[in-house]
Amino acid sequence: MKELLLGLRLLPGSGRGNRARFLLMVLGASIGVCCLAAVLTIPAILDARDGRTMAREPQDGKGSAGATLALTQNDAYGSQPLDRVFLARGEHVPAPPPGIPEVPEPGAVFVSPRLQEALVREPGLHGLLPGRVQGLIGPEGLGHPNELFAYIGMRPDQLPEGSSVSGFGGRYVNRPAVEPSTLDILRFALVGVVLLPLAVFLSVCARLSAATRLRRLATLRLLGVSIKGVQRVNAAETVVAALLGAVLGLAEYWAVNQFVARVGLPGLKWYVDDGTLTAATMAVCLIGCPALAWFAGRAGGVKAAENPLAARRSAVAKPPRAWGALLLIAGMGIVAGYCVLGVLDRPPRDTAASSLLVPVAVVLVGSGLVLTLPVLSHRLSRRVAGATGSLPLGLAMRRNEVEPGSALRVASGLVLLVFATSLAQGVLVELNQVSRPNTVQQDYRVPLDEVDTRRSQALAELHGTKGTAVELLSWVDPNSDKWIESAYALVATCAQLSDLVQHMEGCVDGQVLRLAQNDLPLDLDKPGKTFPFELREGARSRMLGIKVPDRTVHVDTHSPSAVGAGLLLPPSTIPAGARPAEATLILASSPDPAVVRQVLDGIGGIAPTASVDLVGTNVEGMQQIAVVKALLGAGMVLGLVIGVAAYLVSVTDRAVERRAQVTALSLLGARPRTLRAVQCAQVVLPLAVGLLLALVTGKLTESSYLITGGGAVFWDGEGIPLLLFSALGVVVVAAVGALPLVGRRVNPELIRRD
Amino acid sequence: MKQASGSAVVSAREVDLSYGSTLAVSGARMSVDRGEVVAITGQSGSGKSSLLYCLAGVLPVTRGDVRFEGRSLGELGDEELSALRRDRFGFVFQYGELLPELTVEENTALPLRLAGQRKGQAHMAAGDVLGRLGLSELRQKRPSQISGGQSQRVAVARALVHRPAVVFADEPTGSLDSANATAVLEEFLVLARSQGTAVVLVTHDPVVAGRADTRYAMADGTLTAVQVGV
Repeated sequence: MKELLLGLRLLPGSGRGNRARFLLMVLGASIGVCCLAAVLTIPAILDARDGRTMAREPQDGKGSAGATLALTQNDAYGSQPLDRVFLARGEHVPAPPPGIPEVPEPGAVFVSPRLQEALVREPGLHGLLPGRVQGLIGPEGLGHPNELFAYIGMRPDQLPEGSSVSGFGGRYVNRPAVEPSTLDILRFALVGVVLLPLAVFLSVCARLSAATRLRRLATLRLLGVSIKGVQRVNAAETVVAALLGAVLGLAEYWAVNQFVARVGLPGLKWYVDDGTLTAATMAVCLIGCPALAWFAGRAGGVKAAENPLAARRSAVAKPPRAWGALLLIAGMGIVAGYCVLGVLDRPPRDTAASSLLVPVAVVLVGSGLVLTLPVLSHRLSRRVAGATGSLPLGLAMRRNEVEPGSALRVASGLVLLVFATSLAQGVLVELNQVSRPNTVQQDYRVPLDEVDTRRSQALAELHGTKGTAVELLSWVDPNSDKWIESAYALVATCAQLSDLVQHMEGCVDGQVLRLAQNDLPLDLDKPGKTFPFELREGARSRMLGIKVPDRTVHVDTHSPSAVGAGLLLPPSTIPAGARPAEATLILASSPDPAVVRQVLDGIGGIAPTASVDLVGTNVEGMQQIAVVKALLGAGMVLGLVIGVAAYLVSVTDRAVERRAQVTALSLLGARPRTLRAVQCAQVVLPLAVGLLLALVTGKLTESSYLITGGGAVFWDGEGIPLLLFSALGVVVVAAVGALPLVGRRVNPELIRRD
Repeated sequence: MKQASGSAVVSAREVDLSYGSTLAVSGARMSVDRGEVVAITGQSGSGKSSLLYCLAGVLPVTRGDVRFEGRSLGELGDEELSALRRDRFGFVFQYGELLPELTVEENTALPLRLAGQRKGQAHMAAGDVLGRLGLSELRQKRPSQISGGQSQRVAVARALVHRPAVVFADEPTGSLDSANATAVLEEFLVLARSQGTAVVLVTHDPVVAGRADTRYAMADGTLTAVQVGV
């Protein structure tokens, strides 16, 4: 206890430099804790969202007579889901779902605030919401502030398909914000992106100004304080800094939540209350951070406690041990094994073993990277320093050779971030594959009877689309008891058809042709047979007979594709002013999620009430990906904040600690640009080596993750330019960040110790 | 008090230096001739180190003028002052302030390397000075691997390796025991004199000051001549 008090007593009276370092530790820990609180709160935000969604689920009334009826419709408004719950009051009216004061009367509608805004913008949406808007749904009845949701009151006779309900509030979430399996992957990715750099960062903060502190601790040891006592003195200071940092960090998180919850992330918005800190999160932050600092502080004091004389004389640090490389080698062994299987196109089938081995490999490679970097930096620096004729490079490399760990404290967080970002890219690649097939084109189908001529024309010219056509279904007498063969016909020019398919051969404009797809047997194998197609001209209706011709156009369609017709009709076949009675407008665009979203929003703007079928794509999956992307994006931003904060804290600390030596160099006449070049080279070289290593190991690890994921993509080359660009940006920022640390004014007081 | 002569390397006229409202140096006048050894003595806080750094152009004076070989330091810019410190001045600090990451040879060669000399040439010159001080065997050692006395000898070698016009030494033997202090000072002054290098040293040790050609005493920022060399 005496030692703890001594540690606390040393805090306020330990000089300006030490107080500055203490402040750095507090600020650093606060940023780390703020990020930790954010990561820990993400599941709570998703849970709160799912909890409210669950609370409004209609409970099955088991068909009891006189029960209130409910029918839920899930549609899309543009790229966003639009959920409508039709309710018809019966004799027994249950308590209303959360967020509305009562189960709506027939003709009454309750809408979410965002849907109300959409109604103002697009009055046509009223067609989907029959009735009068009676009020808004409160936050307790909505998953998130951007949700498009409505309760629509009907009469029981208007809701024959409705199910009886006894109340609201289910046990299971039908449509969670993120699927549980995806949430596990997300948690794993967030741990990599945020928590690994965070752990490095908090350890860095706890061990700032190591040399100065060691000298002070060595003095205490020489004065008779025991080994444990010295460790406790050191730990006391770091614990106080971490505790203050934790309190400040929670306050920072509170402010960030107030702001970000109101602004929202792309694809994810939450209520301020959802992001409120839970007692568990606060406990983890307030106990976990000081606990980590306690262990780091104790470990930091060992050297001074065991060999105080060496610490007093600033003995040369031992070269870093190479055993850390073993972890990297072991991890890369597993990763390389999977990569080889991928190259041989033999992905492993034993998913149980892979689900254990791949995470183990990720952890081994990540920790191996951190532990191997000092070894690499030490050896590389020694070689470069011996060989170079450049004074700045020589000085920088000599510093790195003597203190390889200190420069790498700066680099480790950023290196881990790049490594984890590679993995996060793999997660996104796999999620994209799950929700969308690996296609080169996205097709859309819009029923033509849901859009008028003007809107269908506008849809055909929609920005982002690259192809359009109309598909007709031949008329079938509804009163006939006999099975009647029907046919689909595509109304398009050869150029339009070419835009919708991969390859086309034998097309002639202006002629009716048979359509043969992907070398499959012809759908309509009886040339000469005639199919009737119903056309409408105003209120009148007439039939158009199309005879199946001999001449055939062969096409290779994309997979999946909206093109499935057996006939190709030139647009001139449809008389001016006539509209097909049963037809679908087909649009095609690039499969790029951003373009798909743009097209869907465009369709929502032109025809908000039209139902859109995205061929082969899971809209809810896309919605979940938007959430996952937002969370991973937020994680990467947090990781970047941690990395940059670690960099700034470390560099500032080093600058404070090396003031005497820099001043001596300045007095010897070193030009400011020489000192700046030394600073830059000292940071940039290990950082560049580390980032390159992280890129290579990260991409290989990502590939092993993809190979074992069961998807079709093994090698994700698309993310490499982004990662390279980011890594280059990090190096440039780090180099520029080192520049202002060399002041122009020389202060000889900094090297005087009397 | 000795007046500035035609052969003065460094001279100060009515120099004042203030830190806020505190006057650290008041009306100091002195000159240092080529090859002359000048000592400034005084108690801690008397302002002697402040005056030393004024003479070296590191601290800008509040009033008065400091000249080096006839040129006023106040008129020189940062680049020119840096060049002066690099090429014409040498420094010895109380604790040596060797760069811990460099070897003894690299530390000694540093001023030459900073002046733009090639590595091989600079290391050869450093080896020569180290040899004259009997430190050849330490060339590849790091500062943490040698004793305090040896460190201070290396600092002396670093200050003289580029044959400066003047060396400013702030308590050069302050961290050493008396036997080591005497030996280091002896080697320092012999080497400086053999090169014709002037030395301005600040010390509170009367024995060290006794080895100087000219002695000044400083008390409460005021400089007084005690013994003026011929």
